[in-house]
Amino acid sequence: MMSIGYIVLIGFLLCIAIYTASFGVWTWKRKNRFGAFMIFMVALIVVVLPVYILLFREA
Amino acid sequence: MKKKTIFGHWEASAIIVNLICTKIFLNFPRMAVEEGGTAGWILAVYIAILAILGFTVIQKLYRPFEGKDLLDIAELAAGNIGRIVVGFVILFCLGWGTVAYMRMFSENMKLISLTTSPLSYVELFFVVCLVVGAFFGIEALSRLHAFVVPIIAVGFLMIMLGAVNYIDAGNLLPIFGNGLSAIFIEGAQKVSDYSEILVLFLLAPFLKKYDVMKSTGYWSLVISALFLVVSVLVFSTVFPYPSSLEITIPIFNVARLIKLGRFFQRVESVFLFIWAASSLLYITVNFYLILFTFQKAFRLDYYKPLILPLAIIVLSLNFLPSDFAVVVTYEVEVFRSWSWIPAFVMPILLLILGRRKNRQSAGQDESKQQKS
Repeated sequence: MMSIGYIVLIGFLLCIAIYTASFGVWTWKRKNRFGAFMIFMVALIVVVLPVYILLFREA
Repeated sequence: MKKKTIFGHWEASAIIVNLICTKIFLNFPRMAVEEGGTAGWILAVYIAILAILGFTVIQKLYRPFEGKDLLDIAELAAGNIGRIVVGFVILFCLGWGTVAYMRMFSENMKLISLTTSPLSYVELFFVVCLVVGAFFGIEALSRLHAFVVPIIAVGFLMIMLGAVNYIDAGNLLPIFGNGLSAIFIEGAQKVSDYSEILVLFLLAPFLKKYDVMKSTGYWSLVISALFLVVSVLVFSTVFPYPSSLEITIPIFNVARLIKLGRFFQRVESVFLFIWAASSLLYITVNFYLILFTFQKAFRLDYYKPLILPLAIIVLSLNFLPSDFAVVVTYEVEVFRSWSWIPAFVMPILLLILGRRKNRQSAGQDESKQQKS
């Protein structure tokens, strides 16, 4: 069962991912497509990896 | 106007020496004894000579690329793809260093002093340092190194001198330990212990002049070699082989032995202080360089928006290995056996390619001038 702590943590991770993705959008608009792609990857991993460790590894 | 950061060879040497020598506090003395037996110190001398020879070749090839880092040279040699591929290789090396060392430091710290604290709590201190260090940037980090690394060096030498009473030179016999082939053939790949010299080729733009880079490289390699050899020599003379193989944190165990009269006891507290300082500096500078490489390899305008996400990724990767033994196995048997390739072979190949490209473009310019 998910505790309130996990929900807060995932919310925090989502905020960071959104912030990172916005930097990716800004980079994309400056015609740096590959740089933007790498930033989007970071934004994705910053949510997926901790959630995987929190929910699956701890179990 | 954006201020250009430049620092001298004292600061750069402090960074490189700390990066290379941090492993003394973890497992370097034991690794040398595992490889060479009672001749672990000969192995330490041998890999130091190999590292200095490797650096001599690299610095000779580096001369025409004054002020350029490895990513600039990769771009010159193989275009954008070269820059990105080399960027990924450097990111992997620095990333592995940061993740593995952070886990090892935290686990060892838990083992020694924070026995009841959860691992995530211990690692939180490291993450705060990563974020703050990366936020202040390389100039602040280099100044901090210039100030703290000499203190760490004095603390380390104090421990080594304090153990003089426990030294038994007979523990160094038989002189060639596990045999000549174990030292000079199989041991050669342990030159990877100097793979942090790779960082010097990233710091080149901050050092600006070729001569500064060259002297920094030699000074940091010689000083690091001295510390590494002294650590192995003291460890293998204090603890007889093969019982020395059972010691998890070699220098900590040396420090625990020291008792100089009634006033100098419990010297391991000095060890804890210098160990924590050295590890925090190691991880912080590595993390900054990850951001620097990420920014440069993918041509980003800023690196600061990536500090928090990358710090969270590093922290999460720390929890991926199931236990401490897995990290140590990968670190010693895989990374510390093969990291000489990105640290020595890759720069040599890139510099040769870069010089060829330089010569080709110079030849084309000359032929254009003759035509006109």
